[in-house]
Amino acid sequence: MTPDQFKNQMIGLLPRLRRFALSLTRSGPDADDLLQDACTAALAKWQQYDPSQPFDRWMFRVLRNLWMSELRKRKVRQGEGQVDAHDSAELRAPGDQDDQMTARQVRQKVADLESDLSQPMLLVCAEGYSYREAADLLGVPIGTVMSRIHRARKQLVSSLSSEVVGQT
Amino acid sequence: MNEFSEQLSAYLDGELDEKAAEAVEARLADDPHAQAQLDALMQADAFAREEFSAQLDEPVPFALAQQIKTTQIQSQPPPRSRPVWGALAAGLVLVAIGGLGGYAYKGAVTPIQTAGWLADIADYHAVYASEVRHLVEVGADESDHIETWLGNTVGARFDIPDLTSFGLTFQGGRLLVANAKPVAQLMYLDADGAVVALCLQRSATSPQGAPEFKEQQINGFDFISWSANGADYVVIGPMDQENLNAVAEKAALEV
Repeated sequence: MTPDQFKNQMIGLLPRLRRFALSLTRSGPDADDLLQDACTAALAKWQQYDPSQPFDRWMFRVLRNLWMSELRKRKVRQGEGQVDAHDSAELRAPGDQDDQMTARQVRQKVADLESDLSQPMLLVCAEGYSYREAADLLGVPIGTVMSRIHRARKQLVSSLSSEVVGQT
Repeated sequence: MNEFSEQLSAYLDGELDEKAAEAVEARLADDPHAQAQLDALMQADAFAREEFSAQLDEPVPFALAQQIKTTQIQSQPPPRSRPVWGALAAGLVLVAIGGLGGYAYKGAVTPIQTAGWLADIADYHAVYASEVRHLVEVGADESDHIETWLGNTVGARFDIPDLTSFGLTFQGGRLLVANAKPVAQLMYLDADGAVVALCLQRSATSPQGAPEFKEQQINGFDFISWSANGADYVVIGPMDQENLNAVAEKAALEV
């Protein structure tokens, strides 16, 4: 692979990289900063990329590693860590919303999923990762991927109708 | 019970082993409530995919694409045991070329400069015309997404022209950067595997009347370019492509 091919692939991948960055950071400005840093880092070490491996997976890993290191820095600076997905997720009682939400509102709920839930959901449902691959990238056990995807779906289901929720 | 819901979720992702999947299917077959649960999960997935897909249509930071393109990266790993004299000799050659004076060098690049964005397009085409696996970033099956995403990013609306009457099958598209502006590149393949691309870029000027087609050859490719509707367009193909003029005219009508 030539440097130009490498750079062109990276440019072509930007929409999907930015989407993954959004699922990690849950904030547009943070996602853009992370994207910028990841591209700079990848360009600097592009010779470490093995062309026999999928380029998108390699870039996702670069992005994810940078974000973990950014979180560690923030933790040191602010004396606080990553917000646990449970915190807000569990506060939402299934019964406290109207029977049906509009499609737009449900989509907003997808955008509002906690980072811990949004990452595996994006990787598996939109990027075609297996549980094993998602677990490798996210550095968590397979069982955690499975339960987080389930939790993400349950949160979305709860906004669809209150009927199915509660009977499970 | 919640355990079953988690099983259903994993079942949706094809992540259950055969035995567990059969158990889920057996229960789905005679428990309407289980089926309703599965339907709800699938409905949630549909909304999730819709939102994830919409996120792809957001324009990417163009400054970043430009920065990637202009960043210089080494084409070869530095040799581990390169003799010092080799480096010195290479340095001397560079000095010697530099010493010959800028005029000759400037003279040599002038034709490419006049080509403007087309020179960049020619570079890209040389790369992609030989690519089979990575010909496009977004495949033809996502044509709507290509039109929305690339249209938004480039800042010029377009429809993907149907060029099948020339034996050209649409393969998909990708985002390029040429002349410091975003370019939408739409790729077509003919039956022999030759790559023909249609590229477009937003333009400040928009001539009135019928488009004027301009033919050029750059780096062994034929270029037919025109401007219309606030955008510059070019069709690129191999030099022996006979009907490229007709392709460009059809593309100009449909794009």
